[in-house]
Amino acid sequence: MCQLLKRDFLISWKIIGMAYLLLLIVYLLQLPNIPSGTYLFLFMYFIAISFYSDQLTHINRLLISTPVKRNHIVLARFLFIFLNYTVFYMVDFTLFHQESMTLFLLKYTALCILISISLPIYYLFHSIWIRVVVHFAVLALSTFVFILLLINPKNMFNFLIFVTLEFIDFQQVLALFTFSGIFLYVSYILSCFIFSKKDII
Amino acid sequence: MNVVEFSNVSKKRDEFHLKELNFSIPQGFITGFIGPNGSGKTSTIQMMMDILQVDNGDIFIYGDSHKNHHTKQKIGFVYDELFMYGDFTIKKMKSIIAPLYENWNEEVFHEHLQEFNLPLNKKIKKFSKGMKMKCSLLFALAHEPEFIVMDEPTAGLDPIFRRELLDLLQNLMIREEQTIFFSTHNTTDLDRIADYIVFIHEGRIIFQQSMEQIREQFHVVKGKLEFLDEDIRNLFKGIQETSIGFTALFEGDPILFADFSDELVIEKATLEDIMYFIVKGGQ
Repeated sequence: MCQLLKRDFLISWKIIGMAYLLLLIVYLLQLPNIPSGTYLFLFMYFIAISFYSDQLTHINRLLISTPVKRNHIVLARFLFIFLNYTVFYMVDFTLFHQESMTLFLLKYTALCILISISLPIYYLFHSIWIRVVVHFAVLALSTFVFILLLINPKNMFNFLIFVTLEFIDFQQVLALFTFSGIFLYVSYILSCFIFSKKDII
Repeated sequence: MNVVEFSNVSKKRDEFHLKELNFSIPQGFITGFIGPNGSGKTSTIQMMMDILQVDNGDIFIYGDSHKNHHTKQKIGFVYDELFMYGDFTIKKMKSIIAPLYENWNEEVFHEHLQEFNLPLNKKIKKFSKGMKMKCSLLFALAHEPEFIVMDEPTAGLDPIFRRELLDLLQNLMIREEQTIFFSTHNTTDLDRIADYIVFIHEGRIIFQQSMEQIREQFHVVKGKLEFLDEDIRNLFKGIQETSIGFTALFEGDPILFADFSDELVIEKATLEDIMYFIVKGGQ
């Protein structure tokens, strides 16, 4: 697992470095806050480039021929993207945002949902263009829904609670983490299923 | 004992169909996998390595399902292309690949690195075709696998390295339970080193035999056109006719032609002859 995470780091450290550099420049020069669209673009680019590198080199043919479980290849990619975004989001939040914890958690949950929606798309389709177009369409749609809900954060929280377990007096943090966890887990299982059934071409 | 067993394996890919593949790879020998381009060699190997999914049938490696990732500890593989990140160096690739193998031998790795004259810190995308093949071989051998799978390893290589590679494979066979499965459409590679041959054509296994059986059973018969009548034609696997005469592939005991020794020339068939006549048939 560590080797697979290391592989992901080695193929994408330049993009990660660039993203942190951007944050640092904006912070040090006291520039206006980075538009959210920049993050969305970075998010799409980062995922697309990881999968595109795999496709270009057919690296999965090599990995599957080694003593590695197919599920572990998927899990490593999930963990890498998830951990990267978690750290990046936390750094970004610490430097720039003075929002309430609830809003922070809501945004973080939205990020987890975006990751959950995005990754199976990349396992499902082979062509990089189809992947990017579908990914963009799904992200645009989900962002639109998210913005609608974000207009009133309380509504969104109520909505999330309703979707999870309304009748239990959950704490906000626990509810949002549970919600994120469920999304990520279902997404991982779905991606594993797709990856285990497909030919590596 | 067989290292690999294919049992009624089928696979449909676009227009191409691999049909009811049944063959085995015996332990301790070099098995050549021959067939013309597009006959299904690479797809068969990719199914064995779980890169392609099997539609029907079973593949067993060391008696276990080919999907069992633990079994792959014993397998070294060399594909027709190098599937590694072009921006990585051998050193970087090793840092990812080596920990995956329980038996990774650093000493063997460095021995082969020197033997193949490969740079540790040069980007893989700057490697020549020969260097890429050597790199693939380097990683395949460094964990001292019991079973080596090679898909067209000599394609595009110069004759010197081809010969070196075949010598290397023969040297590996000194180890007792070493098994090699070697796919190629260049049969001269196998005439020298193979113990068994599996012949595939248009997605079907035509035969699996030992080289000894092949040398005894297949003969090339040459003679004048007048000799050919319908009954004689039916004896041959394939015939090539020219204005001078005919050349045909015969499977069986050539004693059948003993009475015609003045009219016919009978020679042992090479793998190339066998492949040519079976693929071409009576054309």
